[in-house]
Amino acid sequence: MNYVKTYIFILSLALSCTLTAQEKTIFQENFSFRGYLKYMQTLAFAGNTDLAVDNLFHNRLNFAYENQKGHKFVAEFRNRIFYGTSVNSIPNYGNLINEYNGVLPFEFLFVSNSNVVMSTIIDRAYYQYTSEKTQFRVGRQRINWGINTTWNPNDLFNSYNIYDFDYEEREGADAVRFSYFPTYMSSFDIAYKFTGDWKTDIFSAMYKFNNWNYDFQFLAGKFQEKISLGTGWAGSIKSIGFKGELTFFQPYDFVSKMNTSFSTSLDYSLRNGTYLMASYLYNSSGTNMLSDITNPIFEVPNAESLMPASHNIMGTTSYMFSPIFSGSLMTVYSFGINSLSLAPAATFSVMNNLDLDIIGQFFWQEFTDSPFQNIGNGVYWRFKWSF
Amino acid sequence: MQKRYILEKFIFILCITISFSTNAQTSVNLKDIIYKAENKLRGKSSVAEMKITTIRPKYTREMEMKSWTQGEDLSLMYITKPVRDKGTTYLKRYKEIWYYLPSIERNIKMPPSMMNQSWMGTDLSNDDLVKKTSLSKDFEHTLLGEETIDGHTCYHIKLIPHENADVIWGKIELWIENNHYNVMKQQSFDEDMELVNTMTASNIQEMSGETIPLKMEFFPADKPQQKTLMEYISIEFNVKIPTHYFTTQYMTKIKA
Repeated sequence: MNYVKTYIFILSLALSCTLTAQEKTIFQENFSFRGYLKYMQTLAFAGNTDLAVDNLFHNRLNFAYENQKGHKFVAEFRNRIFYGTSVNSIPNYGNLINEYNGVLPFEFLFVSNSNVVMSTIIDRAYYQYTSEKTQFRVGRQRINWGINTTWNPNDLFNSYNIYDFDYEEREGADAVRFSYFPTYMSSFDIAYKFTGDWKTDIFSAMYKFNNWNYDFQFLAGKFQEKISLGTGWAGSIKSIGFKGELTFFQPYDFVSKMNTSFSTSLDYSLRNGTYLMASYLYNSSGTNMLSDITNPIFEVPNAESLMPASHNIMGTTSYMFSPIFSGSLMTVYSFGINSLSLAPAATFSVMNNLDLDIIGQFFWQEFTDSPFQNIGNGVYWRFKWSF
Repeated sequence: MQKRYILEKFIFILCITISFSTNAQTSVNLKDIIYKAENKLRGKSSVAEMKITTIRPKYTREMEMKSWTQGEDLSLMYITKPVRDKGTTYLKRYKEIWYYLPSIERNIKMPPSMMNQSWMGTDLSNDDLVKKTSLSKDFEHTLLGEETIDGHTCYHIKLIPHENADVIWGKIELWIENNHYNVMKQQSFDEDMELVNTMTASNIQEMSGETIPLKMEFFPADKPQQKTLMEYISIEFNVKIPTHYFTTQYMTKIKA
């Protein structure tokens, strides 16, 4: 098992750099290593089908080296071992989970059979140079331009699925980015994401500033074969947080219809600490009608079409019951398509660096030929040890 | 969700620094003492490393952070422990609050109502602490005597709010140390004169020209087995902190 050997070698190398830090050399001072180990079990069930039980060991290793002159190198590894119903029953499950939207060859499928799948994906690998007024970064990186709480039409480079709670870092993009900081509260960014084909590449510029107690941003660029123009803000109305993002996608031919992606949200924290958030998403390319197929819930969307329906609302609440126990509930409703999801979650801090999460995801939908019904459910429990 | 816990602590720290600093006039001697205690650290800058321990009957949780503050308006906090949250950074700049999550490289703006949250599980909100109550101005003061706390002689003062004052307390008792005007103990009572919470301070040391307690403990009255402990590992005052530290840009670049 070469995979395991290499893995243990990397891990022990990293540990030796941090744990023997009695007398740190300059290299060790500049070097950082951290990560986590998670085990998650998924119980999936729907209607009369059998219960599917999936298991996932998930380890993350983050390495960074940054010297005093502004040079930084980052590499982050996502190592996963899957076994259970999906591995047993879905052909080519390994290829499915190892798929990555990028040009750099950083996906490694070490073992893939009907019993077990082992994969490593390097989802961050970049070089960065920072000076007082500028920053340059090249490689696989996260370019996060979202400013709204969830649903981010401005997040052109790395859209993510709101139900994919287990991938907290989210995918990186193979890109080049340059930032210029005219002042300490404003920035000008340009970024280019390579996909291997000019037609699907993404290029955009963004100007961001803070004024009147609001953060504002304006974007312009090329999104696949469209011109993209957008704006976003984060501020407040009295003591209620008020955020939003709007992006227009105009096809080059100027004949095809322009698409609009717009989201806005309000959030508020009650005196007892209960957090409340309500959000609305408009997707002009979405549907207003009932469908005869199941909503593609777990597909990774793009900034232009964040949800399958035109009009969607979301409500989120969270509350900390004690310093070691907190709970939350997210609910999403899509109009027209008439679909609903509920996602309750509880987090327990078992020890200082060990967490237990229990998460549920329940989905309902109405179809053209059948009434509103439950279409699928998942219950997840997960241990996470951070180091 | 853990972020919310940290945010609460961030606001808690802001309030500790800020609660000693509100406006007032001096005329009476007692008023003068309280004024000096309230304004002891007003407008000063500080760089500190601190540890907050939440103690419950069955468990304790520790948190360590580095903070930079400039007066009441600017504050930056970088989490160093627990490892899970290492690198998470909070910024308060005038009326705005953001936090930065290094894992997704994103700044998230918080609603202003975060400042309205209850403080230490009491009826007192952070906003009350920051804006409204002036211990020297809004209360009538009575000297109850002198007591020794942690080896320091303290004035024991009773504070009853003026009738028109916008104060949620029925009564506050303060023990102010007579040498450097540190509040060594504070007890807050509700309008029915029931004790709501107690703060005690200890381990007075001189840290870069300021003589302050390095340890503070907070006890809610109705939960006798609970407390929150705050300790300074290091603190420096009157440090010249570059203004760009308190910006959303710097948040993403901190190396601490």
